[in-house]
Amino acid sequence: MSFLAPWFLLGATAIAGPIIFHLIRRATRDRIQFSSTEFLRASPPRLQKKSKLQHLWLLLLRCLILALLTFGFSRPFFKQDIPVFPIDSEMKHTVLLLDESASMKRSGKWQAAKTQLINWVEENETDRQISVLGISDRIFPILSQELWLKTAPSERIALLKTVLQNREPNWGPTHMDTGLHAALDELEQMVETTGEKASKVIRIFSDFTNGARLSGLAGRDWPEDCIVEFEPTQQGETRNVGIQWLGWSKIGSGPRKARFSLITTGGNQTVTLKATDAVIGAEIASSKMVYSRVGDKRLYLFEIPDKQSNPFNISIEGDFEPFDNTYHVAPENLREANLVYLGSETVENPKGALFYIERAVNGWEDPKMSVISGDWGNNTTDLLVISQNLEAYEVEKAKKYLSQGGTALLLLKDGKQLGLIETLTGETGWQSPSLSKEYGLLGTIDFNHILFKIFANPRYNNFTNIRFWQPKAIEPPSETNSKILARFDEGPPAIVESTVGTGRLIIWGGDWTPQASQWVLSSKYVPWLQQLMETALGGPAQPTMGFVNEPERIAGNEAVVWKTLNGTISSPTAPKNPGLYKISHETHSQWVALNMPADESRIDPLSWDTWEKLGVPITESQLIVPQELAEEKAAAKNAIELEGEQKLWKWLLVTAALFLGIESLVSLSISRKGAVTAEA
Amino acid sequence: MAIAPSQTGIDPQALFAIRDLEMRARVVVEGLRSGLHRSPMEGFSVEFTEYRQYSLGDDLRYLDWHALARTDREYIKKFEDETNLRCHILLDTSRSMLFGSLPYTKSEYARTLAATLAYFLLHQRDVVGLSLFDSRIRDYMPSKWGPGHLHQLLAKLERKPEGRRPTNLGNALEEVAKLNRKRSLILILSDFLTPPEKWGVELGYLVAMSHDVRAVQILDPAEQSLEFGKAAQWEDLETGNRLYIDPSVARLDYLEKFKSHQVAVKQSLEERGVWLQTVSTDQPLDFVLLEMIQQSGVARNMARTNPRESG
Repeated sequence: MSFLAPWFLLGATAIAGPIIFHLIRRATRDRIQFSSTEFLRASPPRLQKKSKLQHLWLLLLRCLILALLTFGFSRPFFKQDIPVFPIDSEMKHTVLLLDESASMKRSGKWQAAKTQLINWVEENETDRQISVLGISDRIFPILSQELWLKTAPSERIALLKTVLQNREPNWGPTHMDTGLHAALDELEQMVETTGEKASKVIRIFSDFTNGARLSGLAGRDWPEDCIVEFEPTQQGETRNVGIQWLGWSKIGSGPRKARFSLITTGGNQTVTLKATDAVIGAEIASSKMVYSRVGDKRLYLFEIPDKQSNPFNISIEGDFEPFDNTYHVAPENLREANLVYLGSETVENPKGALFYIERAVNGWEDPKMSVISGDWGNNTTDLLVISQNLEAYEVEKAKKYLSQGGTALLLLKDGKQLGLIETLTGETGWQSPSLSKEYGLLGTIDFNHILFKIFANPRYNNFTNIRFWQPKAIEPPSETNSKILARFDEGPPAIVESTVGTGRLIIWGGDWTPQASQWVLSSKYVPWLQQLMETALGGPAQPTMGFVNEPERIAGNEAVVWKTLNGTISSPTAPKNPGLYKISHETHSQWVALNMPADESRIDPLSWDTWEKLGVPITESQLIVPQELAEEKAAAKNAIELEGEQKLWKWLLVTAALFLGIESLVSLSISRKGAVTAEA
Repeated sequence: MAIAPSQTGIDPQALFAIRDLEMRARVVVEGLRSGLHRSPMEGFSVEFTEYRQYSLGDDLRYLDWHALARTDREYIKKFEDETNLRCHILLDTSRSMLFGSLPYTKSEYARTLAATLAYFLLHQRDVVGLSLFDSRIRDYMPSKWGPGHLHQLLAKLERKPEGRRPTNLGNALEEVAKLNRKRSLILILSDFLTPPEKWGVELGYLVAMSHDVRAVQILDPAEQSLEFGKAAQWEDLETGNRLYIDPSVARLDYLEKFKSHQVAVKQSLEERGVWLQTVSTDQPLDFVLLEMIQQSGVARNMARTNPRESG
């Protein structure tokens, strides 16, 4: 029998109390009133003889109650040997996760983690099958179970040291959740490979910073026999200031401003912020000294001169961790596009479609639009809008434009344009069936098409409030390369896309003036036009800034050449370090900036509660602390669990309460008897 | 006056079950009266008895002038004598009277006794007064006879006195002496538990004023035998002092002391010519009243105290 709170046993000394009181005759507290005590002499209180205890049974009962209470409060339990650690003697499948994220770039962290991993494997390799994975935002197999098994036990440590020797952390974020999912998959794989039933251990070697992502672990079902263990690297500096890029800001015709905020951890710090031209090294904006507080959400703006076409760096001076002190910024890739309008109306005429097209595209920042009307000329055309019959040379030009991949929009005002459509598409048999209703509505819309996809959400897909007063149905021939994008509610097609060569011709049944339809006045008009423009330009512009772990988001799927800032290194493979690069496409080249994900700047320690909240089966206690202390702690935990299961104290207290009841009855009867005797 | 007492008295416990004090008094007195004879004494009163021949020296006020005119003889009219006792009851209401080992206290017993006595006397057309005292006289009613007097007197007796205090019989006797200038029968109902030295002198004054003083000592049976209670903290009702008393141990000593006190009280009273009647609260009240009448000779006393006594 053991006790959880043995010091309560001292309470047993209280048993002496009843014994003493039973040795002394109870000095009565009863009071009797008498007319006059003048003739009375006080009687001396009578002591019992030492050898004689009064009411022995009552005394025993009282002593028993005290003993039970004392016993109960000391929380007794019967010792059982529940293993504190999951069956040490059994085979264990172990996946070691080595954090290779950017925060491990901090001085000493990486080496410490590697050493801890090697040391641990050296101490614990017996009866284990080990697989080592590197984690950041991706999973990097470092040492597979297969290789581990193939290697002779005596050479395994050497093998591990070798594979780890040249490894370096990357600049990616810490996706701990991805790592753990991968580790679980790996464990499953190990079980399948060996066919042995063994307990599963995932041990993570990391700095466990607050920037690590764990959200993916929510709701994860963990195998019962799996345990996650932690081995944090020694706690170093937690004070750090990092930059979180928020983008560009330009209000009206005002200057462009670089917008960012600071991530501050570990304590408030005073730092200096500088913006320096990356090519020539000159400061392009006046430096700022800021007092950054933990949790600060303030926005910082650097006013960037319009003429600044070189990339630049925003740097932090004066914080405690230098690994994230430079943020690289590449200039924006602002596109310019020409919209050519072939129609009789002028820009000023509100009764013509051009008036509304010009107003729609006027404020666009990207692409920056130029509307050309009247004469097509030799202008580069990104989008062609046709609202009238064309001259023969224009038709030829348009056909050529379309066949070369251009995009054109034809507004079908009347049946006379059917011939133009036939010419442009090279298909005969286009018809414009008449409609019977007073006005038309768009009844069926292909929301899977790129032009209407943006309205696919039920919140935006209501087109029934747009009335077409002069609707013109357009029926493609039976054999056609055309696709119907929308139909009027009566059934005939309203919007048709026809593929011409590599280009596309969008035929819109009706004019865009307010007299012909409510389309240009509706809220869907501008987004649709912008979508058409983006489609014509071949999709949205490639970003110029991204994270070092996601270079494909900048380069796209195209084959590009990456050049470093000074042009010394050029490579078709994406760089692995943050910095400023020039990427060369087939046709053009542009500056791009690769940075470390901002979350990696959050180097304050991760709260252990987070793991518990996510339901991760953790046993951190025995691993973070030295082994002896861990065992002691584990034993204490074991004791608490045992005591909690057995709950002997409850029974003891119930028994004590029972005896207390009996004691009350006994003492009541004794006192009554005493009273009767006295009165007799 | 010849009295034939009833064979059994009224059980005090049954009597005290009657809540109304007047009813209680009536029960006792009526029971007693059935054994009383008419008074054989004659005197000048409203009730005519007979004529007798005038003799020299007779008061001419009582001469029957009508008979003289008719018969030319002098006759003196004789009337039945009326008792006209002036009685003052001095009732102890101090704290010690609150003791009672029976279902009622000494105080209740004493009040009932006083009420019975008052009822009895007032129905005899005697005048009765009342003083309630503890450390001094708290309530005083002069001796009177009248239709509402009995009710007032009973109401006073029934009302519980406020803030009881310890006994100071000496003070009370002194005040009574001051208030009762006329010669009266003064009946002291008390437990006389205070030492005689504290009241002996004042009692002497009262006797010296020609008052006929009678003492009725009311004691609880427990006070006389100490066959009561158990080993406990005993609290003195008068002083509030507490003592641990085991009655079985303290009894002998108590009885000795109590006896010597009783002797001292009796001696002190007798020295001053005061008759003492010791009453135990378990005694039937009618017996007590009867004994009081018999022993104290109220009739004889009446004759003595009546200024218009006729032979």
